[in-house]
Amino acid sequence: MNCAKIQKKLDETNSLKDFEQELAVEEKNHLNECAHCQDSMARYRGADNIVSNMQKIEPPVNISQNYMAGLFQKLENDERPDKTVKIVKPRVQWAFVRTALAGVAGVLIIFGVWRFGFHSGSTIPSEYPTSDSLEYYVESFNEVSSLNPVYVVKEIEYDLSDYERSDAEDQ
Amino acid sequence: MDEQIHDIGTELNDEQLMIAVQKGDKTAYEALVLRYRDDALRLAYHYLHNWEDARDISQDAFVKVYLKADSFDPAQRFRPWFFRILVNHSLNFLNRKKKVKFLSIFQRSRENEEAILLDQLSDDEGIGHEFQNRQMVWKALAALSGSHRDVLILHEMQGFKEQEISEMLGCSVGTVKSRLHYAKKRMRRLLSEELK
Repeated sequence: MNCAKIQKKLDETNSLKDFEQELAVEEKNHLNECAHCQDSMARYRGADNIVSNMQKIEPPVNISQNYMAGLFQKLENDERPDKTVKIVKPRVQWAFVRTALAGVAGVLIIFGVWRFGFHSGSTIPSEYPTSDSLEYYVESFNEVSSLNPVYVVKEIEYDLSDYERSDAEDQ
Repeated sequence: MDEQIHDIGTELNDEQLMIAVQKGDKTAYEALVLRYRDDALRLAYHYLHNWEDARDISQDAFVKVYLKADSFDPAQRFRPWFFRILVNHSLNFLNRKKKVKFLSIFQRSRENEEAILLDQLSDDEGIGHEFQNRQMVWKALAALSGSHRDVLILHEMQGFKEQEISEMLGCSVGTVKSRLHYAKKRMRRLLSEELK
């Protein structure tokens, strides 16, 4: 027989009366002999007594003496119609705020589409070549150049003595 | 007047008195208050640990009974209905004052309590012992969760039956039983540690 078994039963019981009734013979014998278990049981009994004694607490005389007078005074105050001033807090009309915000957002979107269109990026008018279109032109030019023959003017060497000779003849 | 209250108080049960209160009978109301005054004070005291606060809060609960008498259904029982109002008032008071922690309440009320106990008890040894026990119980109660604490106070310290507690707290009797079992176990263990 060990103390742990008794302790466990003691922990689980709803009342010490039940605990004592439910003990087996060998457990009862152990309890009679074991000082440790007797001490545990005494402490548990003390704890139960302390709790049940809380039921016997009586209100002090000075508290219950003028109880009715105080109560009727409160009742009178509460019955007075102008006793409470209702403070009405301004309530935020969230439904209205939501609708208004949605409307403003819609107008902004429509204006944006009307003003700038759907394309993103540069807003330079299309008649001016953009960097993209310049590249396109260069590429197109290169393509055309590769298809057509290139005429290179050969360097002509002029004989200056011819000029000198004709000058002399003129004179 | 007092005789009238006494007569009506002994002749009628709670629910019959409440029907009279609903018709505006102040004698019936007074008889009800006298019947439950001490129980109400004691229950509020278990929550608030201070007799002055207990008086104020229990009075507030009785005021509510009068003002809301029309909402009481005479087919129901008055006792659980009233004490539910009182428990709610006590808890609201604690929340309002941000004194949910029982220890802080205990510290605040200690001076008042000792003064009141001095009035009540004549021998110094009695005061010390009595107050020490209450102190231990309050500390142990503070270690319990709210739902376990409620059940333990109502059953063990106020003497309510499990059925009444279930009506008051709006839960099943089985739930009350299981909470009570756990709370008692925990309480016993905590107190026995203190008694070492």
